Amino acid sequence: MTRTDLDGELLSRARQGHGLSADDLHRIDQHNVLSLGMLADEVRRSVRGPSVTVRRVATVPSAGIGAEWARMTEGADEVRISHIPDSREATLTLVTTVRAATPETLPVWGFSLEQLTRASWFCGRGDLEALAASGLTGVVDAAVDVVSPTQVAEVFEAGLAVGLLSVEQPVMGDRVLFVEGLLRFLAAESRVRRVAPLPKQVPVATPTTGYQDVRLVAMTTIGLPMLEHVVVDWLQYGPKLAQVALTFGATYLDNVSTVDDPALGRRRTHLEDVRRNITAAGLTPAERTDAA
Amino acid sequence: MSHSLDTLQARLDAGGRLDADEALYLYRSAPTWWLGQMADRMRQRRHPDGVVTYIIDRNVNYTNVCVARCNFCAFYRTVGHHEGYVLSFDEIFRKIDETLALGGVQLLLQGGHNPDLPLQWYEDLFRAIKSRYPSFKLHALSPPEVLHLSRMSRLSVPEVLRRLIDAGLDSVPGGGAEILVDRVRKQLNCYSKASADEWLEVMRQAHLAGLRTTATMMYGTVETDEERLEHMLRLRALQDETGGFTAFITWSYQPEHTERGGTEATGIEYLRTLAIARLVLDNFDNLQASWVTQGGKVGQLSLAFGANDMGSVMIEENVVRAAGASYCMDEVEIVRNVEDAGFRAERRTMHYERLGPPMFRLQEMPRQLSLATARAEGDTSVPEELRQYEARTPEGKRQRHQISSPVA
Ligand code: SF4
Repeated sequence: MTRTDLDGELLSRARQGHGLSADDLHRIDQHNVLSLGMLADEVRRSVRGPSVTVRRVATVPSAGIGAEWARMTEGADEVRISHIPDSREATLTLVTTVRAATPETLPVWGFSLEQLTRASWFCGRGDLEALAASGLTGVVDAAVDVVSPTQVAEVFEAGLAVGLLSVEQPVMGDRVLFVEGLLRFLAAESRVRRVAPLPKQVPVATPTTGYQDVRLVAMTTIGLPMLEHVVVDWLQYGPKLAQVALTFGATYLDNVSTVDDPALGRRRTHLEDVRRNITAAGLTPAERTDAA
Repeated sequence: MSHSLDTLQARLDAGGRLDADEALYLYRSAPTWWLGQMADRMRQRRHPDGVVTYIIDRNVNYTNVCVARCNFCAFYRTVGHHEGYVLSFDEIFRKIDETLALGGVQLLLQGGHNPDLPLQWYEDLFRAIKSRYPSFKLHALSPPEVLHLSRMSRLSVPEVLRRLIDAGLDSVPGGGAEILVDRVRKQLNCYSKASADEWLEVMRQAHLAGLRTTATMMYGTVETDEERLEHMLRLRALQDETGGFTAFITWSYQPEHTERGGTEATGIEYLRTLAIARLVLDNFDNLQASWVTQGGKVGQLSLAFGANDMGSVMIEENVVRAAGASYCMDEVEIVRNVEDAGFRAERRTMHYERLGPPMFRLQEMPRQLSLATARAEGDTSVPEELRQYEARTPEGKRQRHQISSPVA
């Protein structure tokens, strides 16, 4: 169970924050899933430490916010608008309404960048500026397989932040190409420091497998040591996979609901349950949830 | 006593055995990666051909009426409860027909301890199944069910087993083991359905009668780490004695809708428990992945933590679903996961005889994206044939009377 010389060398390069060469990445991608996980775990512990950050999110109901809203935002790090209305006016009104109904201390994030770019009304920079003026803090994520670094830069230039880089479709082919693509993306636009490598859209009949998911998390962890966080969506991936992903290098659990909604089934979770999962993975819950 | 990972690794590599103290040390203190790699190595040693097996069978619960009232169970209904059911022979035949159409080879038939179903009902059911489907296998009645029949019929366990075997019983599932420590069983209110010794004795008698059985462990309620390991060591001792267990299956307690409530053990705990089981149960050939409780993803990862079998495609599931889990993997999905993990997938029987490549590659097969249930919701029908069997409870007697004299 000892580390190979190659792993030791990669580890020391990762500690210095260097990305790895395509050759190195190909070599580690040949590791069996446990050896890969072990290496990713070492990289995460030495580069980012053992702590896991939790992002508690109050999601705006698609039917709009009602009397329950104040209770829903209790304990939240962020308010999130996930659905996008059909018109520019309705979208701006939604943001304004949510902002007005939400405590000032809570940031209001909304939409993915690809969701915006696909909206029939969206025309780019002007709309982004209008969203910022309506009270939006930032765009939740930008899928690197859909949008370009230039489009991400435009969001920043409009006065909005971008929460994280995501991936819309499963990485079916070469994981090394995926990591290299991310490296190129980050070289062109380095202001986003969090990456969620697991796909946002997964076919129901053939979801990604556990091996595929954790290998991708591990490769992202090892290949991109300069990132602040490797992120997994708790609500989408559920406690089981999300917890295992932590041991393969993930450092950030996004989208932990503030609401104990029975409709979420096993993905509904109290903060203490999330913390229990983190501790049972041999890691440490960060002192505070992520309000950044 | 002090232990070292290196010493224990050398011992395991040399085919040595872990004692309780060493197992506890590893379970509590070994890094997850170490446990996984050792378990994987042991799995590889036992199954060097890189094959991961699975069975196409259907998990049928013939009744949910139960007097045992285990406090971790969300499935049972009390006698006379409006949601209580007993499946008719015809319903069970229909389920077998559907199973055969999917390439299935057996029923995993288990149910509640229904005081109004006498031994004769089981014998008649088994005979009826075997006369219609002679080569179809019956993997049926966990030890507590056998014990329940023994108590109701006032026949010894060997006699009950003999009668069931004569009627067509092929093998015994290892359900109802929970944790084989009486302190735990008392707290779970399952001591009276079968003490640890009684559970093991039924299995011993089944093995002596020539049946093969599986063994299970449900962890994550009130037991300590030591008690989980005691459970495994008691299974290992019986396996040394009889060699009758084909496989070990562990899963975490599913708390939703149960009287006990609480939280579920995490995925990492599952993988660690599975891995330590592979190391402790050195005389068990097969360890199954419990994808039905852990989901397909952790189910697949089990293959890296000592499992060599993906269990059953199930087709139907009622017990775990009642407690909040509703994962589904059809044959296509199981095979895709096995192959994606780098193994070759083969169908098997309960006895782990290989049956060949995936069925869906041999014939056209519809995809199954959800598991069936025992009955359609709202179906409260009472099987007509029940009138032939004497009920013991007043509610059961009343119900039988109603079937015998239907309202015109
Ligand atoms: S676990 Fe089995 S014996 Fe216990 S209450 Fe449920 S159905 Fe009855």
